Amino acid sequence: MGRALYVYAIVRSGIRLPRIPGHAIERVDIGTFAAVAERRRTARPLSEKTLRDQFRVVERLHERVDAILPVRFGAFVDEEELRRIVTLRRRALAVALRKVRKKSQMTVRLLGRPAARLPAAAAATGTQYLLARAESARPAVSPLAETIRRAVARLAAAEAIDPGRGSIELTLHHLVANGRVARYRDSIERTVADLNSRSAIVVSGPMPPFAFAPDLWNAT
Amino acid sequence: VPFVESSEASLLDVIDSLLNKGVVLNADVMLALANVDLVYLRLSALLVAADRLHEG
Repeated sequence: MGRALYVYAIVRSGIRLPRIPGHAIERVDIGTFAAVAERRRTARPLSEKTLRDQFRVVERLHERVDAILPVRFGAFVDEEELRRIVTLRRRALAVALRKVRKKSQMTVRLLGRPAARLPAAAAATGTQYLLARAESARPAVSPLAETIRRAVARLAAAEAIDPGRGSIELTLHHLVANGRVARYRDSIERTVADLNSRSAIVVSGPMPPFAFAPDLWNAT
Repeated sequence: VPFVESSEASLLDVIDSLLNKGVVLNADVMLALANVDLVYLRLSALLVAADRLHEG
């Protein structure tokens, strides 16, 4: 019985992979891209241990490779299927790999209750209805979050925002050049030091650019 | 504003990154993980950290 591929990341073809203890990772070249994968008989079970282990694998790759697109947990595919989707979405992958080159993800979580949105007023037209729907789907950005965004705008090559949920008011992800990570941290620390807010802020990173991996299902 | 920074990934970073982000290569993953609300089930570590911040 053949083995399928458990995929950790997409990188450029031809690069030299680091050794990762406990993993027999290999490069599967597909045109100008390569999947970093491991041949397995079964998928990896979902657990805290396997999640942490996969995160470590991707972190190690990110440390050694210029540009990496992390793959979501559970990507267990046969080689033919992998080749098909990578080839089909090569443009989106090429753009994303260029974007993340020599950069890391920094994540800022604002702890607190997510801001409530006011219910949309009754729409008189279809256009108004669609605009109201789009507006209500956009994460509510508090003044504190806006202050942080402004503080790091010049250091961030890209930004992604996750709406609040549970005890998290909002999550900001920034793509930051590897050489500017310390300035990014300092900038946030300086900015929030004198602010009076009930929110607490947790900054994590640098980490692989998970939040900047392309959506291959909706790509063209 | 209480401020915490960490260069080591927290459990929340790990879960959020691997289950909610990253390139999706197979639709099975979407289906398998659609009902997994692990991110918010395992927030205890972060909440403890937040409580400490407020105490400080």
